[in-house]
Amino acid sequence: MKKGIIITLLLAVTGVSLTYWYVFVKGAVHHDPLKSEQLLQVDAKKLFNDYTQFEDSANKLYNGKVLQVKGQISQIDLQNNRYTISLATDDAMGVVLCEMDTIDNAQYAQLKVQSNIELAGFCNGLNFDVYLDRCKLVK
Amino acid sequence: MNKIIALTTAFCLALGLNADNYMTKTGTVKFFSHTTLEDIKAENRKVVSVLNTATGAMEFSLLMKGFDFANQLMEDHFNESYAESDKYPKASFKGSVTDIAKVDFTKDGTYTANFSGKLTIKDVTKDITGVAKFVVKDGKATATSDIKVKPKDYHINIPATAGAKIAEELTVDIIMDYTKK
Repeated sequence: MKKGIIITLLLAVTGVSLTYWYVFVKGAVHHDPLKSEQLLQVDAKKLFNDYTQFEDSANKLYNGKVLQVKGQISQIDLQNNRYTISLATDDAMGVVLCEMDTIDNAQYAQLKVQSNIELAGFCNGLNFDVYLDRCKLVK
Repeated sequence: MNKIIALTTAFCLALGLNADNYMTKTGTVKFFSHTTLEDIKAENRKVVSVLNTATGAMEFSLLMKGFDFANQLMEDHFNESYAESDKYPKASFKGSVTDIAKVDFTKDGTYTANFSGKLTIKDVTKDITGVAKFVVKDGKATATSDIKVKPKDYHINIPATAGAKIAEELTVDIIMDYTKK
């Protein structure tokens, strides 16, 4: 009887611990775009054109996916310790806006406007600009 | 004329004359849920908004996948199970600052004004009202407000197993850092 209670308690404690670990430790860590096995490579201008010409199909193709985007930097902003890099498109008003992961801020400080870069991040969709977040430099 | 110029033009025309428009692409919308079991918060820092300072007309739109959670698992659940972000990628507000004349955009200072309009989430549109604080400084205007939103009003169905962890009413903070366009 006593042995049964101890085993039940041990199982309960193990279950709670595993759930906590899964939700608040393993599950809490953000996905790393550079470790994604399904990485779509696309040029910034093509990405923007795809969204502005056929938004519904672009949503299905790109939203939530990890994209490796190549393009020319048109603007670099730093706000609240977070870099946002804009990649030029063929449109005078729209850009591909990449919100960078804060871990590698020192690297982003070296970037120059008009230089070409390649970065990977999670595509959120089109809201005037095309948005990617948690981006990291590929090279 | 490409689609973005057309969209921007339509946005501005809907709000009135361009000369009176303030705009931001870096507005912030945060939500916070508090229960005894868990606090949940998320932030979207890429909210697009236009405010016409002559008429008070104001709109904003945001991408649901742009909400940033501290916990990836929570973010995945939010997008997949609750917001259904693939099916409903955007949320929007269309309305007006009803007493915009109280805010002097030419003079530095802090002002308060009322707003009302329609908030659309998951294709469900509800009327909302609130009070906004405007801080005008050096030609820029920062508008802040907070509203209460009930997920079930917008068909965000929370299963009973998760119900104890998610508040019935969320506090939503809105911060728009406008510059004149």
